[in-house]
Amino acid sequence: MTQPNFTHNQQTNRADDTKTLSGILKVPTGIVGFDEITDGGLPQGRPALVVGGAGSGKTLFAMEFLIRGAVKYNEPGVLVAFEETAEELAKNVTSLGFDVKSLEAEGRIIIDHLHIERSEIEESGEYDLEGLFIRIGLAIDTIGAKRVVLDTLEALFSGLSNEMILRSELRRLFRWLKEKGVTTVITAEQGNGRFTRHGMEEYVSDAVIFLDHRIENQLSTRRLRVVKYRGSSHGTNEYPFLIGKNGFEVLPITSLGLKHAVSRERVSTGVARLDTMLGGQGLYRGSTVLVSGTAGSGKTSLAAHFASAACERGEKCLFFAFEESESQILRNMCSIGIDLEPWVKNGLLRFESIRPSQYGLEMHLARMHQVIREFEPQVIVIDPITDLVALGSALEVKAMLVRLIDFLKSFQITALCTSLTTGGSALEQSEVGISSLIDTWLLVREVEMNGERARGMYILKSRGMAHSNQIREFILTDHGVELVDVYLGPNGALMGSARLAQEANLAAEAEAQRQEVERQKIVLERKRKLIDAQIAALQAELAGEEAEFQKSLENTQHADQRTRQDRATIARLRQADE
Amino acid sequence: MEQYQIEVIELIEQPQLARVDQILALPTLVRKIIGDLSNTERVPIGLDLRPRTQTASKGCLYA
Repeated sequence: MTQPNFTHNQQTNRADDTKTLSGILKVPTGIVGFDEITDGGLPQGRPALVVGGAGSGKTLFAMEFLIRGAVKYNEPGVLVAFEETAEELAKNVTSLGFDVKSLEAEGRIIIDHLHIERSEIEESGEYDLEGLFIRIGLAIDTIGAKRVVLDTLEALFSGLSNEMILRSELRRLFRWLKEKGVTTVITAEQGNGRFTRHGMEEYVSDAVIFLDHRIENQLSTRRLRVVKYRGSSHGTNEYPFLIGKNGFEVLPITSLGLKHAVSRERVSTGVARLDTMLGGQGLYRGSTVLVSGTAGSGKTSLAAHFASAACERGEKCLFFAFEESESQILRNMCSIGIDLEPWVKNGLLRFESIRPSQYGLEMHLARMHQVIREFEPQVIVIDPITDLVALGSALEVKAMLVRLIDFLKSFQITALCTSLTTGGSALEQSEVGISSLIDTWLLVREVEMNGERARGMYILKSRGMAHSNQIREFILTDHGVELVDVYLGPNGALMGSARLAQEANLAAEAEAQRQEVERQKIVLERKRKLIDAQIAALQAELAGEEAEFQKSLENTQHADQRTRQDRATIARLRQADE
Repeated sequence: MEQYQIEVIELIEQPQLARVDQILALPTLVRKIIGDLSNTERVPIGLDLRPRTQTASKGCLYA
């Protein structure tokens, strides 16, 4: 680290490069998400520059680095504040749950406010900043500090006029801090036309972090970018971040990639018939389901089933509602027989109702991340996801959804997103942007026929499982969603009352046929009886005739016999000689 | 003119005074004059012994 010559900054940089290529040590900042995008935190024992405009969160970043270091990683820290007093700084972070005063009392943190006022200083020729060195040095040695924050060193430029001395002293300061082996965060104001107002990036070349706070469509979004990180790979994207009640939170979503493990476990959708359609077992755990349909097609009801089924399994469900309030959903779902209230009461179900226009796109994503991390659900519902689409360009929305879905998958959270499609356009086309991201896509389609509206549902795709290709009629009953077979006949699929009429017709036809068969059976029976009777009569006739014949036969025989007897008698009487 | 007594402090030996007295640059005279203390033009101005004038501020290199 010690470079005896500092003829030009570039030389020092290059020398450092070769040293750090072998892999550098990092210290975790403790800031949620930041350590993930930098693969471990800030370079150990080196200064890092945090640049941003007014109100971009520079000081908070630095404070959190220091306080979390002291609390979480047992690394004491020194804060040299040029702009705010120790009391002001302590007050600023009290709302985030940090008790700076007690940390100071325990000797884990020192806050040194350095007061510079140009009007109070009379510069007379050559001087150096040894006084500053001594102060920082004493503070570091007093508590054995491993971390130092200089906020904002640029105040020196407005306090002292001899820029030549200042610049050489700054160079000396950073070299000295490196020698001390403390990890330093220096904050700097974003410059007009250059990176920082006073060219601080010249001195700090190990890590440069840029914080941005911009307003788009009247919605503000905070973003963080690692501009430079020597000797380390890092995400180069802009990452949205939040300053919430838990402090600074960066969302390292794009860094996830497609590496998540998948589950073979299946979970129910909450509608038995739908599970049957999905290979008989329902959805894969950790998969993403999209339910698209036009307004009033029953998407939220399906989502409620899904949420209710999750709670019945004892899983936690987070319901993001962008259009209805919690009580409204509870009331509406109760009317179709889905009672979600007990789940809300026992803490398995949580509603997050937010108006989409309340935040920018990234901010929504950030908040969703925050709540998901906090609540740790197994199942989430986003109703509807299309409300977010209106907040940004197609590209931005897709990027955001990729990040969200990646995030959910990495935690194996099963997600059901509803999507409102406007009438007229082809349903399959309207969501081209996200269709490739989701695993199972259910379509609820309005079918108009014979002056009425029916709902038909089918599975457009479902990755990794055999699934039904048939359209089912989607009926909302007082005991929830029901899927019934549609009537498929020569005139196509029939739904709604047409299906009912058709079914009634069929039933009537079947009944008629049954009755016809019955009638034929009776006729046949009658015929058989008739024939039987005829047979009996004929047989009786035959028997009569037979008897008659027998009688006449007997008579004939009698007559013969008598004749013979008579003849014999006559012969005897004549005394014939034979 | 009154008599003044000047105490010379070697800050490196008593570093805690840097914080107490808000010392940034060295050498510092009476907490507000830094640099060349033998400058007979700037030092008396800093000590309010001579009024700040237009000509005086022009004498400053980076003013």
